[in-house]
Amino acid sequence: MSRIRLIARLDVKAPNLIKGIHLEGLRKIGDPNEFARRYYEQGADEILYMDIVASLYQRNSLLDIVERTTRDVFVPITVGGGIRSTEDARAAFRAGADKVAINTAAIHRPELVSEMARSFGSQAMVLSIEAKRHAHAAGWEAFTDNGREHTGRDVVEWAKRGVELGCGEILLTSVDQEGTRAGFDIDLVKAVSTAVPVPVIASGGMGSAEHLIDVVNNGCADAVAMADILHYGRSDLASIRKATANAGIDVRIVE
Amino acid sequence: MTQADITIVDYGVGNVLSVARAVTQAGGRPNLSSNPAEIAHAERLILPGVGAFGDCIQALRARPGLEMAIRDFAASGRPMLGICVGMQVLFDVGEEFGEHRGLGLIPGRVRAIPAKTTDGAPQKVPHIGWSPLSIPDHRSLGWTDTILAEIQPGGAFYSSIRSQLGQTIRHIASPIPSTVASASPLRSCAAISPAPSSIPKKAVRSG
Repeated sequence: MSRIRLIARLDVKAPNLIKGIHLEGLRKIGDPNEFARRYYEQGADEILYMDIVASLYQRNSLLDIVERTTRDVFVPITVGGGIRSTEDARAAFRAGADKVAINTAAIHRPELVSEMARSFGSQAMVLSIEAKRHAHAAGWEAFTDNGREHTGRDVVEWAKRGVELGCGEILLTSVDQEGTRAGFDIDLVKAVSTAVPVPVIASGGMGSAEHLIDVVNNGCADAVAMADILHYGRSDLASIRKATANAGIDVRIVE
Repeated sequence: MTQADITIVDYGVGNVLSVARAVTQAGGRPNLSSNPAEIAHAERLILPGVGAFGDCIQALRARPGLEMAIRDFAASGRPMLGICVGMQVLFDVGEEFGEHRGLGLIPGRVRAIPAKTTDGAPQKVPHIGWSPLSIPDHRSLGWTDTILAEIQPGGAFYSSIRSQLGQTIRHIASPIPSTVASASPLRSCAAISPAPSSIPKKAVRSG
């Protein structure tokens, strides 16, 4: 069992850090570089940048932000949003990313997951899944475009397929919970995490350290992404880490 | 301490910018190069990598003179560091997506981490995260003659690997000290016993 990772998630609409509810209704929060550096100093295990408008190559795009971030942030950086090809991924790595996350491009062409894994290794290939609970049935459907576009794919099946194709990690965002601060979709995280042999990052809904402890203990999450609890200063990574360790969960102890 | 010139092999693979920044942070002067003459005569050399074994060794061999330059450098006895798959390709053979011949500077095969621990408990692969390092039993000198000399046992390193034998050691420039936390309590989904601590393989050649 690896240690549970605490990941600061920064959704970006360049040049701003933004935050929404259910991945929509976006509010500007500030300069992503400043926030990333603060989270690194607080002891984040990783930084996750998601470009919500997929503006990879535009001026002052996410890649410029990533490049600046690598100057003073020395934990792994994952970049997602708008990566459609191995060339895009290569550009992200050159800008300083350590891993890339793909969603839409993988839905449209699943073999891309294999191509990326072969080029960059599974450990750098994160499959990002936006999950929404079915309204009138059990289970969850995978979505793209910040939870707007249906894919018709069952989340658990898609996650398993992603692993067969070569992804080394799954970023699992609950669109239902995202931005609500009401806690994670525990059933969703557990369903995926127990179905695949690769680590699963739970994302969406964290409003307190108790939510994190819950999704690790009851949802079997391998890592937890958190956003507005940090952005709005409702808590900080040091306190969250302490509460998590006190609950008996194995985390990196940052001195 | 005088600033060391560190040459980073740029062969189109890996997070070279991240490595260069780490070198600067650690007090060195990074120099990205794909020039064989420059590499063969470097003061210190880093072979970086984010990638699959086969693709990386292929990318390296596709650049004329590069493999020989790295061999010449290694033969000189000057310090060399392989990072991630850049370290794995220093071994004889890699088994990621088929069998691939490495540089053979260090004897051994790089194999996939099994889906179960030696105790039979399931473990998730790739292994991703910050894990404490332990000094292996056979090293009576500890890490004194390696790049890890200033690291306290238990210092946490980030690794993101699906292969073992070749150890992947990343973000070495700013290791964050940590204490070894107690084993997690039993959880319905967790591996019951912690994975055995891995033995760091010498991936550093000190001069």
